[in-house]
Amino acid sequence: MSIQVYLVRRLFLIIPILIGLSLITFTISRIVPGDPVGLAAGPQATPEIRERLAAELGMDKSLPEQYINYMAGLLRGDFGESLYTRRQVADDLRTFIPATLELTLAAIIFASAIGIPMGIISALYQNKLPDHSARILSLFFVSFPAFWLAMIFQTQFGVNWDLAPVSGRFPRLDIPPNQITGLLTVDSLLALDFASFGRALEHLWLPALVLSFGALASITRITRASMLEALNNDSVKTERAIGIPWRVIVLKYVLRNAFIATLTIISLEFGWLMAGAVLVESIFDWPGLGLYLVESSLRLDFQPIMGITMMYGIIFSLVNILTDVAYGIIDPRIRYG
Amino acid sequence: MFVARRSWLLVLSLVLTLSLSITLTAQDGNILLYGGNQDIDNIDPAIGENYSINAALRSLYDALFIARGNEIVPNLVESYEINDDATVFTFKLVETATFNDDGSPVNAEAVAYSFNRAMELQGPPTYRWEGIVDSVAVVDEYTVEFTLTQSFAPFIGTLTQLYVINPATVEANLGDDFGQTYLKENAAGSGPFVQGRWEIGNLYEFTAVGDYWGQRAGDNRIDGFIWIIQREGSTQVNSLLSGETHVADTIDFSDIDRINETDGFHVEQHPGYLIDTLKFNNQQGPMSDVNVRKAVASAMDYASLPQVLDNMIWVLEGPQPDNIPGFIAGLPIPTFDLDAAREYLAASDYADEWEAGTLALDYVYVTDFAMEEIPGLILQANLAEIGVTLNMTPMLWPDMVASCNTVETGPDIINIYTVPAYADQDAHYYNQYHSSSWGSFNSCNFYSNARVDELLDAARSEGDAAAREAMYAEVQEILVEDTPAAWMYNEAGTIAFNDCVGGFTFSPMYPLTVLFQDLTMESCP
Repeated sequence: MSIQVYLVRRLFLIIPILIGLSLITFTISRIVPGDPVGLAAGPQATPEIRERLAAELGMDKSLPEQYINYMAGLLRGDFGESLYTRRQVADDLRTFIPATLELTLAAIIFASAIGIPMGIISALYQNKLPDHSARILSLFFVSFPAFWLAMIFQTQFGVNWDLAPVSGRFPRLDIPPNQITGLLTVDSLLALDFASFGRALEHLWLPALVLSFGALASITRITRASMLEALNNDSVKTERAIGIPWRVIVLKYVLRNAFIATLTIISLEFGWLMAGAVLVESIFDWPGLGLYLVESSLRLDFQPIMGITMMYGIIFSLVNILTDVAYGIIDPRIRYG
Repeated sequence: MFVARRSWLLVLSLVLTLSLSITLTAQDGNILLYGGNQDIDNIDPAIGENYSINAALRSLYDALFIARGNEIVPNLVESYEINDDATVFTFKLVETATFNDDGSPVNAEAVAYSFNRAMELQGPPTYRWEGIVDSVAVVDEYTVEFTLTQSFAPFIGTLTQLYVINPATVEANLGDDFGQTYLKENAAGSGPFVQGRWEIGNLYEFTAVGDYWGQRAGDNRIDGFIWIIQREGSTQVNSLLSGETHVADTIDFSDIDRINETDGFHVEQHPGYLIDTLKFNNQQGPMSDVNVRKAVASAMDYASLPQVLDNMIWVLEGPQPDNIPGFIAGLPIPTFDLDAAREYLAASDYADEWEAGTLALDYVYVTDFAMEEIPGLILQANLAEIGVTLNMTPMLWPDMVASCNTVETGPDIINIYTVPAYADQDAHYYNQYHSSSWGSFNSCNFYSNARVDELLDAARSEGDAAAREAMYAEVQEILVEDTPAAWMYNEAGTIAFNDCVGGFTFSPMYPLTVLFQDLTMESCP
């Protein structure tokens, strides 16, 4: 099967996944007790006001009817309207996704840039000091809750050492670069505005570093394990025997064989990081999906919750497809089908 | 290969040099950076109402009256008349106010239009006027007259929330929802500020109107402010102390010392109207028995609350805080006394259950909210001592709201904060204790007393201040007798300042935030 056909087939397969996801989220969000309409109408609202609001929002219909209406809207790109803010969820998603994406991408770059070399060194010096240090370090990072590290790092780096701004994506008094992708670092580079790029980077590095820690630990450990497996392969003995330099063996053959597992964990971690960004975002006032999700959940605001879940579902599925494609590039023996 | 690598290095070093050499260029003027704990979701005056929205509305719009400190003072109103039975209120408007978007005058037509639009949309702010205002009429260009269905003495107090919108702007953006889509993110007012950058979920910029018609601070007044949404208490404090913000609201108790001990910063704490009450379900189960209610109210160790709770509080000494006018001191409210509690239980209809050790009550509070959980734990320990089981039942706020809809779903005991909408006893008592108010969390005690209903209705329309005060005095006495709730405490509004900011006056009606138009800044970071 050609890669094009494979891609199309995989993209089509997202549809049933999303339908399943929407059904589950819809059901859970509607069967939990609570009175979101009462909350949106305000504490003093009379029963008439509440009923009118419920009718306006289509919440007076039966659940299956509500679901069908929702899905019909979704097909038109209409994610519905927030009960509470009355804003279009699609607009909100467009506003918040770039911030989360930028933070998550930066975190995954940090995690890979530190985690992969650490894993390699760990494997090459198995059971020696570098290995022990790397393993202890990764255990250390994976054990600390992200929100706690975030607070500590914020106080140390932001307040005490003045090495990074305490919060936000960009200095509040300055105008951010014109939105093209919504990723401030990318937009400022596209506009050749290096000063803005610097400012965006200044705000990005600390939250991204904090967010990367959990993923960093997993990437280190998986890279180490698969490197060890690849190093013990007979082919390595042969390669050494015929005199290929050790550096070349490690970087060209062993790492490539070991990388499939690392890639898998990176793509999985990407999904986790998007979800895990919730805490880091709220501590660094990073205006992304996570904060939006927390706020909507606390108000039982169905439409944003559904919209965000669907968005996570889409992003996660796309990352998985990209990973599968990448497998083939790294290891040409892999066939799509 | 090498050339390519070298050019990359060149670009990289260029980027680094540029990014490191930048100096942050601040916007011109005195721009105050404000760390607000809550988003500003909707700035349509007919729809939005909470502390952050109010802060925005008070900056973007003008109302007929304004709360400044403890006073309610005329704002758009130059003079006014009230007829003898307090049913017709005639307001003469100032003639100098103009709308910021098109310079048109703020006139009687605009006031009537704003009011009618609000009533048509039936948003949260309108409960103040529902069933009370009969009609609003334009007498002449600058005179507007409100006719009420009944005498309603505290009417003036409600007008601080009647923000005047520009009818022309609404008509131009009417849509099919009476301009809601436009107004939820765009102001059409005559207030001291206009909108600047408006980044949903991130920050909101307000720019001062150069020739504002009304009252502003004198020297060093702010030229604008940016409301930065900061949901984490620790981030608010770190931002304040590092100079990224100048003011931060709703500060956590645990951070207050850290701020006060840092040179150049201070925290303001004042009693507002953030009133905490344990509401008993007066219509169902053991709490429908007045003796059980009194027993539970006597099992709370009120005096310990200021020590154990995470904020500055003032324990209530009656059904209302003493900063709402009309408070009666010295009423025989339940105090912590376990012997008395035992006596009440023995005298109750539930004495058998109690003696058998099977008397159990639910205590509902907001999940993980220590201010509500800790009093519950104190009560639980004390009740256990006298043989009553208290089940701690955490709930999410929307679920608590839902549970207050009907008597059947109403919990035995629920911890609720109430905030009267205006500084008047009517606003405090009517929605909590009038039997027509059942169904909202404010009235989760499902209290019903014909005499109290009668007094509350009568006081509403009593024009004579002394007679009114006497009625509310009787209401307080009956409430203490019936004990429909345990009156707990009034919590401080807590706002932290960089000392470079001045002009703040605490207003109990808006305890969580500031009146931006009065603020000044001098040599701020």
